[in-house]
Amino acid sequence: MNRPHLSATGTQYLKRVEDLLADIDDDDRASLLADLADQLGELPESEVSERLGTPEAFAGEYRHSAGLEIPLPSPPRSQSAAIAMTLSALALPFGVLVLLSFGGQLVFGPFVLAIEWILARVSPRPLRIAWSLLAALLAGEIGYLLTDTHVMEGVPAVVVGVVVAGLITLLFNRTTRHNADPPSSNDLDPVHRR
Amino acid sequence: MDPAQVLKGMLDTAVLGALRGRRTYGYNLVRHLREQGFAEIADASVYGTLRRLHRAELLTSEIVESETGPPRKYYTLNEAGVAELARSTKTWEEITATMDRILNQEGT
Repeated sequence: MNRPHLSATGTQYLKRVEDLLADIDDDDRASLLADLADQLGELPESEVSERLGTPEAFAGEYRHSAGLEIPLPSPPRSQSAAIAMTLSALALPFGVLVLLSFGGQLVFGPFVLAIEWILARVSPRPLRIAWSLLAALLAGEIGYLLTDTHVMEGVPAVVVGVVVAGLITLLFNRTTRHNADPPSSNDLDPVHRR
Repeated sequence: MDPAQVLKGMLDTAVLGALRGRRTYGYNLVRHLREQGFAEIADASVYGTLRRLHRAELLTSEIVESETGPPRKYYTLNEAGVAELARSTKTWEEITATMDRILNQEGT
């Protein structure tokens, strides 16, 4: 783009504002940057921050006046969360083996399910789905084993088994859903402002 | 009283008024408003207000090539903008008349 000659400060300022407003309409951004480049071209380098404020303040004021939402930055992922995710990924194949080996016995079922729940809580979305599938399989197995006891038999036992499996799966998914996911646009406060 | 806060509430009207009968681009409008006495104005708020009023279809825009820099977006008031300016002006006159009465009334 053909721009007036800018000082190093002016160029940096313009670039920073461009980055901060990267999400707005291209036409609006180009128009703003053209005006801002004109302005920066006329301002002495020493007066840039005094006149315009920081690039962050400038971009924030622009959004506020333009009636634009301010996107929330992605929460930084802590080192401990990264370690937990790696462990969770490594534990996934073991989870399958555990399920095949012990899950078939009713007494171990809840313990295996609890471990899967903890791992799902610290897992990113794709792994959480995998853990949820494993949990659903286990829940089905628990439901099936319940029908195999002498307490209940026949159709009522099957119905109770299916309901128990469904409730376990539902509870599992509901309690692990929001942990590692980035906020969706619906989670953003529509009136969040600087 | 902070003049910048008062102006903020009237910025839409000030921008519409400054665009009456003229076609101009963002930075030129900033300069014009400052020359008229709005020294405290936050420049970014003028650019943002222009964008919002344009989206509200109160302004018409036109991209004009420039010999000295990038193409500039020039704004003019359209029919809806003129009507909005008339409404805002009436509101402003009512507010100032009320304030005059309050500030100038003698104590009883």
